[in-house]
Amino acid sequence: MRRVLGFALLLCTGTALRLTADPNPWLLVDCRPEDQPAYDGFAQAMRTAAPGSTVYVPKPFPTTIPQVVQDFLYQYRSFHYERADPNKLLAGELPLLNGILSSTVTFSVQKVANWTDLHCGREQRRDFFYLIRAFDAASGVELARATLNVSGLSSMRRNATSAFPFPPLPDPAVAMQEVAAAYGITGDSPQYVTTLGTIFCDFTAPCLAFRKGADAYIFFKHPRFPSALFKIAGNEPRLVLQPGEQLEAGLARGPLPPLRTDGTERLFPLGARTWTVAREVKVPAGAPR
Amino acid sequence: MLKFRMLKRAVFAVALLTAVGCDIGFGGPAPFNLGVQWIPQQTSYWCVPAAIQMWALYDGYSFAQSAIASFVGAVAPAGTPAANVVTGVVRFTAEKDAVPYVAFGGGPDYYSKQVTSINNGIPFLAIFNAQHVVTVGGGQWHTDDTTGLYVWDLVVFQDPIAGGPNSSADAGDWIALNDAMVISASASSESLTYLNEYGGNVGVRGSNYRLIQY
Repeated sequence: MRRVLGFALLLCTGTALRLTADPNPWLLVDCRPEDQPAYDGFAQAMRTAAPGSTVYVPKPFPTTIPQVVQDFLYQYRSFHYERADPNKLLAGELPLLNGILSSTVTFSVQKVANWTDLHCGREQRRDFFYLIRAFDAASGVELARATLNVSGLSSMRRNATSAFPFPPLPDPAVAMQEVAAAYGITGDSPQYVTTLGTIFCDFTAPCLAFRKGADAYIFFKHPRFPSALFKIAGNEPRLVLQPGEQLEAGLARGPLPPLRTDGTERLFPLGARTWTVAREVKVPAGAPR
Repeated sequence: MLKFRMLKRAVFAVALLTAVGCDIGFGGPAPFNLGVQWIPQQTSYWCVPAAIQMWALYDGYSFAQSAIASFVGAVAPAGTPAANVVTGVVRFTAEKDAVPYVAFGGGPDYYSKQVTSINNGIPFLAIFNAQHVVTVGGGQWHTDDTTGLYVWDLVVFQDPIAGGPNSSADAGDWIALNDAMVISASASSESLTYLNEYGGNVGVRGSNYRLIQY
C-alpha cells in the first residue's frame, strides 16, 4: 500500500518542475496596491507559523506538486475523520479517507485562475488555486476534488459519489480546436478559471478561458446547460464598486450599459469588486456545431 | 405536510430550549449535517430559487423551482434582486422570521448566528460576494480555547450550480467568501447570549482573523 503513494509521489516529483515552471494564470484585474502590505503580513505569518497555528501548513506557498499534496494531506488529516462514526461522514468521504490512510490514492494538481472575489481577500491574495484531484490508484476512479490557495491553505472540497461523479475537465488543446472549428476563433494562453455569478465555473469544475489580443474568452461547458462561448472585450466598460457599495447602487451609477435580458449579455464579476459585461459569441452561420 | 411541520416546529422548540446545554453539532469529528437535499438550479440565473427550494424541501414543502423563480423575480441578466431573497424564504419555507444580515456590517455576531442556526437544526442561505447563493446545511465547529466561543472549522453547503451535493469550505475561506446571509431570527437568536463575534482571541482555521481590524 505504501508503495502506491510512494510511486505516486515519485511521479509527482517527476513533474514537479513542470508545475513550478508553469506560468501563473493570467488575470483581468489586479488587487489594490494599498492592500499588499496586509497580504505580505499574512504571508510572513504563514512562513513563521508553527504547528498548532491556524495558518500553519508544512509548505507555505507551495510551488511543486509534492508540496501542494503535502499541504493538502496535512490539513485533511487534521480533521481526524478516522475517529468519526463512518455513518456520519459525508457521502464519498469514506473512500477518500481510507485511500489516504492506506496510501492508495494518487493526485493530480493543476493551477486554476481565480476570477472570484476571493482573489483580493481581506487577508490573503489568491491569484489562483491549486486544483487537487484525488484518484483511487487501482481503479483510477476520481474520489474528490479540492482547492488549495496559493498560500497552501485549504479552500473548497467536494467528494465524488457513484450518483454524482465529476465531469471531466476540458482538455485545453481539444477545447481550443473545438472553439476554432465552431467559432472561427484561434486564441492563445488557455487556462482553467473559477468564476461566480451568471457564468458560473465551480471551484471544483472550472471553465476554460483563453486570450485573443486584448480580449478574453470563457468557454462555458456544463453538464446541465448548453455550451457557450463568451467574450470579455478588452475595451468593455468596467464597474468598480466602492467600499460598502452594493451592486445595485453601482449599476445605477454606471458605467455599464443596460444589458439584454435574453441571456446573451451577462453581468460578469472579475474579482476585486470589479464587474464587466460578457457577451455571448454566436456560432457563425454555416459553421459546424 | 402540516403534521410534519408541527412535528418539526416541536423539535425546533425543544432544540431552542435545550440548545445551551445540548449542542447537537459540537463534539464529533464528523461534520454535523442536517441532510438538506441537493437540488440543481435549472437556469444560470436561478441559484436563489434553487437554494430556497432546497430549504423549503427540508422544511417539508415541495415547490417547483420555476414558481419560486417567478415569485422572487429571478431573470436575466442579473438574477434575483437582493431584496426579494428574504421574501422568497418567508414565502416558501417554514421560517417566517427570516432576516438578512451583511457580514462585518450587519451585527456583531454574524458567523455565530450561522453556527447557532445549524446547531438548532435550521438551514440558512449564504451569499457569495453578491454573486451566488447556496444553502448551508452543516459543518464543524470548535470551542475557542480562550473565550469558549464556537467557531466554524468547516462549512458544508449545498451549491445548486455544482455537480453534486455536499460542497465544503474551510473556515478561513468561508469568512472571505460569504458576505451576506438570510437566516431564521429565532433559530439564531441565542447566539446573542452565548456566542459573540469572532473577537480578538478567537482562532479561525485557515485565517489569522485575530490580527485583523474590521
